[in-house]
Amino acid sequence: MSEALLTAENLSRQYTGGGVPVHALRAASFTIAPAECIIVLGPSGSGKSTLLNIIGGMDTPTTGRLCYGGRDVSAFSARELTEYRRDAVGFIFQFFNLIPSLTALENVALAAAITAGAMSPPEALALVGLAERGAHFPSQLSGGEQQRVSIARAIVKNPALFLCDEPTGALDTQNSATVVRLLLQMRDRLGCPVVIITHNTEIARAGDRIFHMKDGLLEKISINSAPVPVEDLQW
Amino acid sequence: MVKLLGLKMLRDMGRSKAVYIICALVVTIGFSGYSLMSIAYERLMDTRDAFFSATDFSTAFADVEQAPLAVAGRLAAVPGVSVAEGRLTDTARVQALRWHEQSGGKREELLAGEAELLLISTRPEGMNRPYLNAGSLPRAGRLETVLGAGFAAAHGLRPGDAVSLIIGGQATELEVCGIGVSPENIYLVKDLADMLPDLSSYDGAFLHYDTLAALLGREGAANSFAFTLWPGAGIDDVKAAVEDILRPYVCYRVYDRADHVSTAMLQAELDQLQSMAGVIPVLFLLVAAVILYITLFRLVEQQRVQIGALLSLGFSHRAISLHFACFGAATGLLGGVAGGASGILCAVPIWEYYLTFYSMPALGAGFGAAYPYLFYSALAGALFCGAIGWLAARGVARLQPAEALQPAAPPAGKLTPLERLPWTRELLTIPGLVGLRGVFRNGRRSLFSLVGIACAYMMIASLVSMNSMVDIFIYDELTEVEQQDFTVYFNAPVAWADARAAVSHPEVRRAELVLDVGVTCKSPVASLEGTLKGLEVGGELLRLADAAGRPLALAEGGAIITAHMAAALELGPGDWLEVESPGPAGQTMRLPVAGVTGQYMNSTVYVPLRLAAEFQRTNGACNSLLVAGTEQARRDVADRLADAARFTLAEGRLAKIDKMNAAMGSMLFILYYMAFAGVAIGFAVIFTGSLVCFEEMKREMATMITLGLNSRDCLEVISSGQWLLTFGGVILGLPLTWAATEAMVRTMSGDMYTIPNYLSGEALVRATVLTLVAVVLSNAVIHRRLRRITPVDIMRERN
Ligand SMILES: Nc1ncnc2c1ncn2[C@@H]1O[C@H](COP(=O)(O)OP(=O)(O)O)[C@@H](O)[C@H]1O
Ligand SMILES: [Mg+2]
Repeated sequence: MSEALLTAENLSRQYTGGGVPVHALRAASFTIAPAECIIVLGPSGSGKSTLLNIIGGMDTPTTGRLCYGGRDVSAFSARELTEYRRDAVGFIFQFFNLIPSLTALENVALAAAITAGAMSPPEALALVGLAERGAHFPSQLSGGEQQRVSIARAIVKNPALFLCDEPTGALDTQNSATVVRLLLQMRDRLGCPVVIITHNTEIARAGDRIFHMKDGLLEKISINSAPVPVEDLQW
Repeated sequence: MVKLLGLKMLRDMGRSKAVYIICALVVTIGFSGYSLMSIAYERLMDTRDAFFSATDFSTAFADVEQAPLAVAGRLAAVPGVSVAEGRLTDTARVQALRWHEQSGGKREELLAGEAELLLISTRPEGMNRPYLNAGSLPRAGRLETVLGAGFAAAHGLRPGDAVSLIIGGQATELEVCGIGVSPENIYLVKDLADMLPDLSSYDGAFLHYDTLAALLGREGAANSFAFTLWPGAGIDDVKAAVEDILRPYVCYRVYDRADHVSTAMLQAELDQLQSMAGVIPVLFLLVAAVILYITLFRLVEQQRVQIGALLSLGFSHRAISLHFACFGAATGLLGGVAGGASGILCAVPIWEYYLTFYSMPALGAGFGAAYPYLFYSALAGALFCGAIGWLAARGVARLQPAEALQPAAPPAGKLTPLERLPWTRELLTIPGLVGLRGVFRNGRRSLFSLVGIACAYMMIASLVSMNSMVDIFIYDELTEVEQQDFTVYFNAPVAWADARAAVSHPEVRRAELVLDVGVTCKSPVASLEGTLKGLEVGGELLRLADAAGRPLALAEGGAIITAHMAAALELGPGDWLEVESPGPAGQTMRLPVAGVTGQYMNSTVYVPLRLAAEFQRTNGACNSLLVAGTEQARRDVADRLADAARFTLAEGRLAKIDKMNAAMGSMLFILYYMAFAGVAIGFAVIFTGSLVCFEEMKREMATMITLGLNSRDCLEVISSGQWLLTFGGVILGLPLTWAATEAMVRTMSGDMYTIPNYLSGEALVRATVLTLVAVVLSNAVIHRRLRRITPVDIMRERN
């Protein structure tokens, strides 16, 4: 595998709120290489989102180190974390999290506005096949369409890392297929790694590596020597 | 980015525009009050200064019995005095008015003795000239006068008409050569206890010195000196020297123009305007702050996941807090601009109202200087409300990005303190219980609602009680204290028997003698100019009563003083009061205070008639008569006395009340308007609280509707909480109201009068009822919204 874009060493996250401490993530170590597709599998509550949030600069590890481009993200100040999220990361969520009072195009433009070297927002919308729906508000779009807007919102920033937390969790199979296909297309186009959390083992067949999580532990990393093209996945 | 977030803000605000509009309106009221009063104040100051300089209003005065005019030269030589001028003043009864044939307009005939004019001598080149609205200044040696504009207007007099006056005991006809005002007759009251000037019966009239001196037979003499001080010099710097020079001529008083009654009243008004301009916006901004905070705090909670999404995109906490601060700033800006603009617009009529009230000419700079207030209001509104928004969004700064993305943890269910009381569980329905728990669950917001309701209650109660204050303050004097039908005044003391004979008439039921003496009242801590009023013991036409309405009886050897005097001199029953008559005789008398009346407008010491007469060394004399009798009796007495030189005026009390009503009309309108504003604001606070609560509990209510509860039951969820908060708010509002009225009363009270903190139980009850009405109204509006809920939509909606 080529040189790592991101290196994690013994990442742990412990939540202390509410009395009993919760070990959401225990000593996870891994690397992420450019343009690879990582699938994270695991039961609910196993620490997948915690892991992804730490990678994305949305949360900080209790202990451990996370290096991105030679810099220690785990030691970043709040300000540096904001810059990291702004310039390096593209996030996609299960429930889309679009701004309801902004139209599809405006949602994309909002992300573009704060990022240096962003793509043009209409172009990003066109890439997800929604060029015609720019003037619609999220409430006027279907779930699948909303998720595609949220993909456009992530790619418009030309991110170095593409992080998706159960992107198909709220979608039917038809839409799930479209979304996964788009995600991998974008990975190819931008050349950035994509990390996808999912419960769907079928999607896992398309990944280069699969992280298996259980009780906060990154139990196993399996390598998929022959990723299945999205078109061939069985939905 | 700014543009897009701005767009988001406008759309978000549009979704609950009612709240932002209400809030902007409250801010508008506050700033319109602020700019209105500030502009009126500045403009009035300008007008006053321009008026003073246009008339060469002197900076100080000295009243003497009689001195040669030439003494002015010696006064001018006193260090600190630059110019001095001697003049004559006197009062004259108006005997008749004569209109020129051609002059149209209303012609109001006068009863004998009904009107009096204050004659002031003037010279074309001298100080204190009248400012002419029409005509020209009186010429030397001509029987001409410049009439006070108020009197002229009341009787339809114009240059060319004539007035017949009794001057120096003789009827003299003067041609009206001009109509005008001077700072000395802008607020002219014959008796300080009259409070409001009545220019139709008492105004100034300006005659050339030579004319007046000849008519009074006092050529070359002066009984008043006007002088101007060096810049920077004060009355105290020259008082002693001036008194020394004037002592041989019986000097009564040396005073600053600030102590001239006519201008002192204007000054009191200006001071009041200035302090109210500071208080009003603070009150309203406080309420606006509560509404905004509740609304924005809720908005931030509601947009938690959106905040998470923005953070994940790389927006900083600062940028997001700023975004929410902008909600406040936009509301404040809107309110500030609207407030500043409406204040500027309304300042013109208010200023004109003051000019009419004080009969001042419209002088001074234009309203151009008012425009900065638009800017100040806009800036202050935006900054203040922006800061409130920032505070409300403080939660954002504490939110970790990952945390924000998860919906807030559901609040722990626990029993509220109220439920621990034994009987509450039985009393409350399940929806009521949900509502109650909601109140305690959201502690901070409930606290704010509570404070908001308390503020609203305070505003309603203190504004409503302002009305009763005015009642006590002004009308009680005329309706409760004074019982006579009319009063006959004499210019000089008259023997008791003569006075009684003057009003003996079959239709006169009762006549009581009064002797008024101008005095200086002293206590160990302060002194005050006032009136010693001798009344017949056992009299019925002047009913003295204490603040609680209990009658006070005059007794030999004791004095009853007014509440204003008691407050100013810090005296109470049992203390000793020292009374000193001015001028050369300078008698003093020490009296124990036997009682304090409920009068707040005047400084009077009531003593038995005999005591007053002894004090003035005019045994067996009086100078006015209170008469109970018919209107016919009044007319007959006026006719009978028409030729008596010393008699001056017989005015009907009812006519006085009518005039007072007319003069107070606009003031009452302002008070009712403010009370209305108070109610509207109370409603605003309560409604916003309910609305936010409604938004918050929408999902719970949708669930209840799905379970088969109807909209009434759901309303109970909201209303039970609101009733509880309202109850608490009213209780908290009681001490707040007391504090607010106390503060208001302190800012309004001055040298001329004391305003009592008259917070009546009735005002509190009225305010409570109005507050409850606001809750009922707001419930009705919420109920309408509840009926439009479609549970499916809400259940599907994800924040
Ligand atoms: N803010 C938090 N406070 C306390 N516990 C948390 C918090 N966030 C997550 N957890 C706990 O950490 C564990 C891992 O959570 P998460 O990473 O969201 O799991 P997953 O995404 O795999 O379902 C869970 O047990 C969850 O309850
Ligand atoms: Mg998760």
